[in-house]
Parts: sequence; C-alpha cells; structure tokens
Amino acid sequence: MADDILVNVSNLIKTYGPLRAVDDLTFQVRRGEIVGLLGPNGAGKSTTMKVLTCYLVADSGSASVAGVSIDDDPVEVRRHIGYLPENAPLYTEMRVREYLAFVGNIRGLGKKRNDRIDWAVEACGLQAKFMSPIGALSRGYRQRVGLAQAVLHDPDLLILDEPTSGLDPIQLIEIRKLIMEIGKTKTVLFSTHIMQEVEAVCSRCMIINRGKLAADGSPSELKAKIGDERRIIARVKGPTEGELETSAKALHGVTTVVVQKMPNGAWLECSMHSNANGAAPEGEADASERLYNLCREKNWAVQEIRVESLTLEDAFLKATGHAALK
Amino acid sequence: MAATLSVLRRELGAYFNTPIGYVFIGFFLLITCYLYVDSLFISGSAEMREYFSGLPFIMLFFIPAVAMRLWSEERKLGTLELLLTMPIKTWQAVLGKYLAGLVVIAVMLLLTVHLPITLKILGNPDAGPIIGGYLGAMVLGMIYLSIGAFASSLTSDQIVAFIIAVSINFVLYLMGFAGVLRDFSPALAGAIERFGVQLHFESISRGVVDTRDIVYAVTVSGMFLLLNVLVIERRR
Repeated sequence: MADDILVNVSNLIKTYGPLRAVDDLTFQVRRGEIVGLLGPNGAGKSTTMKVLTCYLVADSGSASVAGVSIDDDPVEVRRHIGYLPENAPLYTEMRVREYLAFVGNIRGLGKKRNDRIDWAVEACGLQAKFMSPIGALSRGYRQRVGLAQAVLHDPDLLILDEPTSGLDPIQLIEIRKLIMEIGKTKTVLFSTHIMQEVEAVCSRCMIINRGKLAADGSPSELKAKIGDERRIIARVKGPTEGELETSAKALHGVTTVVVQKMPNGAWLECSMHSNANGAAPEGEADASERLYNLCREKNWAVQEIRVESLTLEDAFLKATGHAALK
Repeated sequence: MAATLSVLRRELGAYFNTPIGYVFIGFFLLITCYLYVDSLFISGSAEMREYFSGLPFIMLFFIPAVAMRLWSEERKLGTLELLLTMPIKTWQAVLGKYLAGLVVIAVMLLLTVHLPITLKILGNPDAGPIIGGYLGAMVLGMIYLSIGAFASSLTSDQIVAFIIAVSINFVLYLMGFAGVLRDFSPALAGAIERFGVQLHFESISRGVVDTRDIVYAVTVSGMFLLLNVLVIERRR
C-alpha cells in the first residue's frame, strides 16, 4: 500500500567536496519495520540520516518522510522524526528533568508535556536518574536520555545513529531491549556495526558501502543470498600440509581450502568452503561427511570437524567486497 | 514563538545554572564600578558621565565574552545537531540565543543600579543623562552582542570566537576615535564616524534619542543577526 511507506528516498546524492558520501541512494521504509543500517565507517550511514532529518541538504535526489518532502517543509519533516545523533550529544549541565522539559517545550507539546515526560522516563527506565545532571550519568544512561527525548513527542519514525556504540555488554542488552520494545509500535531506522544486533533486533537490514546500497533484505534473506556456501573446519593428524590440501580440494563441492599447522606441531587445521548440499548429486553425502570418510580411509586422526553456517558478518564482508578477509 | 522562548529559557539556564554568568557579571561589576568610583570622588560631581564614557571600551571585551559560548559550545559538544533537527526554523534559534544574551547584558547593567541610588543619596544627580547613559549602554550591548553571536557561529572554539568578535568591535570603536579620524579628509572622516559606534553611543548618552542612532543600531544588529542565520544555514 502506498500509505504504508513511511520513508521514501530516491536517487539521493550528498557530496563533501570531492567525496560522494551518499551516492545515488534509493530505498523505502515501510511502517512498522525495524531497519538496521550496516556499513563500514564512512559508508554514508550517518550522512543519510542527517539528510533525512533535514540537518543537511542533499545535492540532488529527493526524500520524504510520512509524505512530506525534505525540500518542501523541513520543519514538518522533523516533527515526524525522533532523532538521536551519534554519541548522544546532550546538554551536560542540565538535569534529565529539565532537559526533557526543554525538548517537550521546543516540540510544542503544551499541556501534554508532563505526561509525555513521565511516559518517556518510564519507557526508558530513567526514574532513578530523573533529577541527575546529565553530565553525571554513565554512557548507558545518557543513551537512554537520548532515546527518551527521541520518543517524547511520539513520532512515527525513530532515527538512531549508532545507539549502542560505546556501551558495555549489559547496557547493550538493555538498549537493544528498549529499541525492540519501542519498535513494536514505531518504525525504527538505526545504524550499527554489530551484526548480532541486526540479527536480533531487525526485520530488515540495509548494507551501505561507499555511499551505495550494497544489499537490502531481511537478515535471513541476506545470508541466503551468499549461497549455500558453508565453512568446514577440521583438525587432522597424519598427513603433511600438501597432502591434506590436495586431498581436501579433490573432494566434490569444495571451493577453497586453507591448511594451517597448529602450534603444537602435530595437528593440522583445515578450513574449507563448500557448497554444502547444492553440488552433491542424489545419494552422495555432504562435504563434511566425505572429509571424515577420507580421513578414515587414509588413517588420519580427526580431532575435530565442525560446520559453520555463514553469518550476517560474512554477508556483510561479501557485500562490501572484503570477503577475502575471512 | 514558543520555539524561540524555549531556546531563550534554556540558554538563560545555561548562563545562570552554571558559574559562567555569575563570573562574567561579577567581573564586569567589579571593574566598571571600581574605575568609576575612583573618578567619582576626584570629580566631586554627582554624575555618571565618567561611568558611561568608559563603558564602550569595556563592553567591547565583555560582550564577546558573554556571546562566545552561544554557538561555539554547541558546535563543540555536538548538541547543535540535536537543536537544529528540532522542528524550529534557524532564525528562531538565532533569535532565542540572542535574546538570552540581551537578558544577561540587561542584568549586568541593572546590577549597577546601586550607583545612581548612591548618587541620589550623596547629591543631586541629573536623571536625564543617567537614563540616557543606560539606554545607550543597552543599545551598545545589542550591537556588540549581535557581532559576538555571529562570531560564535563561525567556529567551535570559544577563544577564536572571542577574538573575532573583539576585533570587529574594535574596528567599529576605532571608527569614532579622534586619533584615527584625523588621518582622513573631513568629509570621509564624517562618514566613517557615522559607521562607528562611538558617535551614536554618545548622542544617546546625552539623552537625545535620534532616529539616526536607532536606525544605526537596528541596521548593524540586524545585519549581524542575518549573517548569523546564514552561517548556521551554510553548514547544511
């Protein structure tokens, strides 16, 4: 449905001097989606967000939020968005209560302001820190205050720039829970480096690289796109490195083989990529089984065989052209 | 309107909930009052002329000190991004901050009210020049503040903002300086003097509110406020 589309970005271009930070970007975000923006540093995630929130003006292309174009009415666009920039920049000398009151005023909440503040404080778990100066809060709590100001006016769309950066493991889990909770009723667009986060939280993932959209889909879709490739890791004692490598490569369906001598000298670690089931004809066992049989045949001792399915991180590395890193 | 007021209130909070406002005001009072009281008993007459004649030079430094944090600090902390992604127009933010600065200056001047009160007790001062003097000081503050805010918008470094503002103020101040004007032809000197602050401040101080002085103040302040808006917009 057309009115289902909350964010509509079309051929967006933003350059900083000679650098194209956002290079002909086109995508839509539907209501209710929790979208993860993945990308290396400098890929253009923050810039895209800054253009959507009308903090920056695009060089060309168009974008609209809730039907309002960023060129026509930036102020109105900002009414529909709750934004939290990277590192949650807040006025450190203000107390949480004062700060939220300020945001409530500037967003024109009027009489509803105090109720909304109570709601946001409750939703973000800030009750204990309500009267604290923001400068005295830990990073985790500051992010929460940032989230509180973003949801205060009940916006349709939340744009969060690396909301989990710099948080310790406990804070990470809490913020993620918060985002998922908020995501139940709102549309969220957030950027991150952490793959598990995207898999855990997002319904959809966009991989951005060098200003372009490299991949777009749900986490499982993206993993499926890299193909049936699986990685098999085995520890074998007996053969020389050369023997193991040639034998492994000879196995049906194996694409790459890397053999490494383990520190203790006796064992070799073999890592291979294989098309797990795709290439094997009917009746034939999959690659890991064939490797085991091979070792048994040649009387090589097998300490470990494990099969790793490709993760979102692999999809990310492949989409950004860094697949060889792994 | 509500947006401007929100910014105004927040900014005032920043000045008065932290030591900054009090330190600046304290120093201003200390220096100006001391210099004045020094001359008062020497001159022996119940008037504040000595006080107001020293103000333009002192305010030339103090107002930039008040203004330097307006935009520079936000830029440095990154809070500018949050402010400007609120549903407000840039000019509303500029105006809100400017008005907050004006309030601080007004408070600074108001706190010297003990001077005319003391004069009234000691002697029989003429009300006109005193009121005119305060008015002139406020107008001077308006002008210097618009320059200070503009300078602050240019950089994230408060010190640099301060220096830029002081430099511009100094140029305007020098335009009324006899030692400088002497080097120009009388016609040109007259024109230059009219662009400087000194002339207009003096005429207001005398209790004469000339439309030309008002026009000057509004024009210069307006120009720098507009530049302020443009600079903030340009980062987009």
